[in-house]
Amino acid sequence: MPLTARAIIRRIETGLIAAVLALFVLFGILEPQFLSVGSLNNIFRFVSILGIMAIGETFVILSGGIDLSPGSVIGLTGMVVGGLLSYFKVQWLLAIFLTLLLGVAIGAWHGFFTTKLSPPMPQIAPSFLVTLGTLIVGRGVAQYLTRGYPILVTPIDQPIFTYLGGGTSLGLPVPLIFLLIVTAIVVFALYFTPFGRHVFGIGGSLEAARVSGIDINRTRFSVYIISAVLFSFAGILITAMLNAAYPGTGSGYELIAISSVAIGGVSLAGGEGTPYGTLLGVTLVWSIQTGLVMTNVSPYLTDIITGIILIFAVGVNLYNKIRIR
Amino acid sequence: MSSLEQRPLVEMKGISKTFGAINALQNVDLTLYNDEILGLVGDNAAGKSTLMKILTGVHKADEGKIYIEGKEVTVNRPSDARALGIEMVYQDFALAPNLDVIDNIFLGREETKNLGGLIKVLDKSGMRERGINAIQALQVDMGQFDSLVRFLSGGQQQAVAIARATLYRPKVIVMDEPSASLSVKAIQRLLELMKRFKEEGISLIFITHRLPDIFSVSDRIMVLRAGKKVAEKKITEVTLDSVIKLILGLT
Repeated sequence: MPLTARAIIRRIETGLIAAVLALFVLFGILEPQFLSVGSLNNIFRFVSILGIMAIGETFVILSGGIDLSPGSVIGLTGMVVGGLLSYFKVQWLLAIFLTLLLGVAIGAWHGFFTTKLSPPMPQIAPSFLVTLGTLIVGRGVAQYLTRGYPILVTPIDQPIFTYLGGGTSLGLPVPLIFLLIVTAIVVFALYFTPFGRHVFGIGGSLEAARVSGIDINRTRFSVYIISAVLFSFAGILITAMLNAAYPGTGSGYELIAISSVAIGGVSLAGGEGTPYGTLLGVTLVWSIQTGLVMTNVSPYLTDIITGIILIFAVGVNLYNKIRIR
Repeated sequence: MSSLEQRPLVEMKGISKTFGAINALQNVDLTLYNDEILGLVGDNAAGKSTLMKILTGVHKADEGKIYIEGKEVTVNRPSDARALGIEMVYQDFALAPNLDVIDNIFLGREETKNLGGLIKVLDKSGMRERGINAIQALQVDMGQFDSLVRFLSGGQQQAVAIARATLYRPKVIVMDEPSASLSVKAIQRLLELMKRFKEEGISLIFITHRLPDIFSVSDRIMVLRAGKKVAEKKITEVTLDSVIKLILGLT
């Protein structure tokens, strides 16, 4: 009996929603503060920013590649926008624009490496390598800019900019509004444009994409630019939210990005998955982290517990896929 | 037969192709006329698939020229071939397993409509209608069109690949080992379909190891051996035996 795409997706996401709810109930019981308005506000504010990052990662993985750079791009762009605002006194909109432009440049480098410097073969290896390079170099540059010191961006100096990360509008944290806009655009691109079909096609079968006349290089190029710009946007919002840019911001976030994507049901081989799954995945991942911290679990155990839950979740996903087949 | 007086539909002249140290094709000519089925046979690595991939733009010939209806053309990529009305049904179908039937039929040639005059959006209902028509014309039971291609049987997947090839009324369809993953019944249906295509004015180049199938539908037959053309004859001028001898080089 052929199973439709919708039936499968519904199954993964219902499971995720149930898991997130169960987690909230559990942590709420263990530490009632977890469910306080202030706490939930903070969680969703930060999850929204991580969600923007994770959606960028989703794009790359859907197309059959992988991106290890989100953490370092977030760190670097956070420092760059902070420096532009506080040292060079650049106007906030221009500062954001220039920082996003840096994101475009980073993405273009990733795209260039994976398309020109390697033939149209499966791109896991080239994309792994070039984004790993960015992970290392980007973090290095972020540290080097201020020799390790943070850059302050206070609400007094930059009221509008800090509002973008820390403010509330229509009852929602502003980053959440940004996330909703980003998600709407991404969903439109993936499901209502030829470009989206090409991304899924390349991820599903390189041969099918090639004989169909899809411009594989151009599609891949676009995907890496989109992801780097989204990572940069996340970096900008974190600086706005924290009122400061730290060279170490974003360390380890690539793992959050990839785990969220995997938990969300996006196949790491490419071609399958949804942004919704990713967003549920990132909510799950970050809620676990926050919940463990708030219930005073030892920081050493936090990583272990998070890791075990992630492996379990990814395993369930894979098992489901095999069973369906 | 009138094909001798017609101008050929497709002419490939002096095609040579090397892959590293391997001489895949050496100075091969191929002629295809209107309203005919040309059987292309040869042992493994004779160069049949390579020759066809050159025609359909997947490979580029090192030497040689291609003419369509008398005019010289360049085919650098699959979209060039499609634009010239040449389509191919690949041996392993070359479908995206993670996409549904309609997505695969239109992959790379998605139809769009204007949303509010500004944005180009996928014309999903239009594609669905045209895709369903293309499949139904093949008279294959597809089940649900929303099925992902990976859940379809070999015959159904091939129907999708054929529907993709017939979407824009091509002049030529190349079929590379189409019987490979099919049941006996499906193979019979396929041969009937190929005769129907010919009646509708589409010429076919038919690569297969199953020689009886060639004799069942082809008008002419071309034999390749080790990268060279060794024979090109009307089907009435050969027998199964003589073809086998030509393929193996025993004469």
